[in-house]
Amino acid sequence: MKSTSKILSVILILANTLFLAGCWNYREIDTLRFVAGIAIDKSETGDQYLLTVETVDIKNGGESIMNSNTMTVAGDTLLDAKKNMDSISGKKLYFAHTRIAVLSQDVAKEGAVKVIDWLARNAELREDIEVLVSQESTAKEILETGSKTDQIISFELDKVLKNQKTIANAPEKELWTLINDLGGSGISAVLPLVSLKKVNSRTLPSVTGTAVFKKDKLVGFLNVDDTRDLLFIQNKVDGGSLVQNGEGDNAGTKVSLKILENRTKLKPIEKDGNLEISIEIKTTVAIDEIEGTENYIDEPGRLRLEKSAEESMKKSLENVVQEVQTKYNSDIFGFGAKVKADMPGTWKEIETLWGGKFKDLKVSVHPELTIKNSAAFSQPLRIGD
Amino acid sequence: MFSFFRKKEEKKAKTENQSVLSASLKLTNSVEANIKLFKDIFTNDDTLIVRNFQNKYLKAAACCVIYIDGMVNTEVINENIIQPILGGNLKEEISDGNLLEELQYKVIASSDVKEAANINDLVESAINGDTVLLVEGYKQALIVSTKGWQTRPIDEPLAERVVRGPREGFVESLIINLSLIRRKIKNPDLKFQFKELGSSTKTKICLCYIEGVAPEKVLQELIHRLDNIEIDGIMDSGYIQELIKDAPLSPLETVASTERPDNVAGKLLEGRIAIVVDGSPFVLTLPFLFVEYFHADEDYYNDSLFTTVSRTLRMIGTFAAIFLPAIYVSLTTFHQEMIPTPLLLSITAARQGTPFPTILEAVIMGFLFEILRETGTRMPAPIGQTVVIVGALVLGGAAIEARFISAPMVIVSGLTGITALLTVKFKSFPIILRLLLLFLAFLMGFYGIIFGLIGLVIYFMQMRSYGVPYLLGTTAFDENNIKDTVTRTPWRQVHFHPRLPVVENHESDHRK
Repeated sequence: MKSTSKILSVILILANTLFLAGCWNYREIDTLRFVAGIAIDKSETGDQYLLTVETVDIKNGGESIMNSNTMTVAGDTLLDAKKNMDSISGKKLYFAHTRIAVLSQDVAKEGAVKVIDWLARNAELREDIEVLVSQESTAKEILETGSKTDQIISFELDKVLKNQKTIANAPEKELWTLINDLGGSGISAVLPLVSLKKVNSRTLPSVTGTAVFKKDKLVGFLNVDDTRDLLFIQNKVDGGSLVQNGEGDNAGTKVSLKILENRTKLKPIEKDGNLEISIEIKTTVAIDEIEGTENYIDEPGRLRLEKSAEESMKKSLENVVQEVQTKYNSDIFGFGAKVKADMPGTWKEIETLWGGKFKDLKVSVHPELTIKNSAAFSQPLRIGD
Repeated sequence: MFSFFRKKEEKKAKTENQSVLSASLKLTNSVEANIKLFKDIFTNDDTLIVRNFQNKYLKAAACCVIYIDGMVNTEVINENIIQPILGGNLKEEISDGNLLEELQYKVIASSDVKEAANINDLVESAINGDTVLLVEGYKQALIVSTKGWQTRPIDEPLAERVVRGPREGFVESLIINLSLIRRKIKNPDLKFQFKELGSSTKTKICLCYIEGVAPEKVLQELIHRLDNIEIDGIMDSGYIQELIKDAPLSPLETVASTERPDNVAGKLLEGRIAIVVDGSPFVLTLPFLFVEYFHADEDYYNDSLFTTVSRTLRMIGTFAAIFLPAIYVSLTTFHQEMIPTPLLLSITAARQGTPFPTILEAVIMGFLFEILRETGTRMPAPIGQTVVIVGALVLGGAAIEARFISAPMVIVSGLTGITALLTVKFKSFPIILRLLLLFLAFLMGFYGIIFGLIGLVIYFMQMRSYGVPYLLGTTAFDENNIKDTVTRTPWRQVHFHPRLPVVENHESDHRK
């Protein structure tokens, strides 16, 4: 009797662990439609969302052909739109392999949090998808280029964004870092911008520039050069290039400098009760291209080049900071966060006033540029008779 | 488990000796009558040879040899028994009444001559290949050892070939097998203890162990289990292996078998006990632990690093052989998010248009592989080729082409099958477990697999082989027990073969 009850209780416990785990979800892989990317627009009336998904359509046949296919459906909320979509498509939409989410400007201006909540809360979608803002009038047209170009455009965009470390054209932002930035104090969010460009008669999306947010609302854009400066300040440059105009007589001689290594340090300094930020940049570059015969490789020429490059970098960076301060008043550089980390005491006093303080914050830039080599040639080309 | 044997003990008495038939029969003084006695016992057995002869000088020395054709060395009978008795001048030597004694001591040239009167002993000796010599006027007979039947030459064992190491293997003869073991270990502590099993076959078995090294408890337990065996015939050591294993219904072995004398000698040095069975080239050794599944004889002759690598490979292979289909099924039907995107897409592309659900594909392919394997094992070599071609081309290539089965599943089941052959000592274990895990994976995905794994570990942990924990050397770090497990300690650090620890009171362990 005792042993029967023992066995019974073991069976009961086992049965409970098996059936209460909620792991009952057998679905064949070929009944799913894989979503590669999603784009979110506002409907024309403005009260509904337009959810666009780019799906990978796999053709049945001797060779497997994968095509990009887009589908747009309206809904009151994003989940509503998704549900409407499921009732159209025979196969169930599967979001676990989604790589990007594109927001339209309208959506971003209205407040990113509204849509980001679903992206993050949804159990299938990953937290590391790339979030972008479309510079075009809608977000869906970015994904729609996929069907015209024979590639899954979302996967391509994802790869482009993953390469940003060495290209420095746009800030890469995964969903979870975006959420961190939105919620963090002393830092404002930025997102990469994607726009359509004509390349050889084909229209392709290109990721260049930055969308600047204040709180969770889009307030403006930075162009490519400004974006690179932003990335310099955020210490996110690990490659890319600087183009330096020659000085004086050689104004027409452009020199391309390839960035080999970069390290940026933000230093908040308190001087006479005034907060200052000092940006120290140490960059190692290589001469990659000299459009002329001027000798920038021997020491005097090199020093001149270093100096002029440092100067233009300083000027450019200070301009960007000033522009952001005056135009957007949004601390996208994370100065506040740095102050918070280095001077927690000071931060406590100024935290609530930071919105106003940032605007007048004094920022100084101290670049230190080193030319390490001149690629494969040790001399500029000469022009003889 | 032990109580299983105990219960049988009570039933035992009923099958005491079947051979009561000749208890009443007794030898008489007359050779004629004695011959008739033998012929009655061996009715309808034409292999019984009876040869009457007489000494040419002494008429009283009328003798008769009885033996079984094919079991004896006739040369020995001719030259060492018949010849001396026929031609020798026995007249002077023989005084009245001691003819038998004189023959035994002075005439017959054989190393082993015994006097016997019991008809049972005589019949048994004749069956075993000895010659019975009847002499007129005596109620006793002589048993002359003339065993000599054809045996297979000592050969390299087919199933356990090595590149490096001794190439001799056991044969079917008990005595030759014992000599092979004795030649490896020249130590008087090496004991050979004979026993007889099987009420009809009377198969001789021999327990080998090194006294002082083999744990007494294991030996006692083994003898106890052997004594409880009730069976009429033992055809091969496989019978005994199954009869004395710890968990009769488990797919796991707790007794090992090998065809290699070097393997047996090594295990004897470790304190294990070997059972040599007459008529079987497979010698049993015990206790047998789980890690031994992954050991090969060559491991001990190759460099220890290489041994470690190949043992690791075997372990990974076995893991794959058991878990691969289950993992594939749970990945593709439950956890699609865990597959890297490009792989997911190509699996999806391969699955397009295939009619069966993944789980059914897995079962079908597993079944097909087992059929092919089984056919391959039993086929004569020339037909084997056909099996390979049909298996590879028709079932593999064409099935994918016709979109009956998806290509990734063929890869998975192929891998599973190949890796299962990495450790051939496993027989039913991977097949049964694979199916079980497949079922769990089908029900619950990885959650189910983990469930199975936990159950497996619990099952392993409670298992014992003759009182020695089955997972010895793999679950806890003990300097002495891990010398020969996944890794092999270089010989320079091993002065003695690692000895088996024996858990005290292992029997009461089970009774709790």
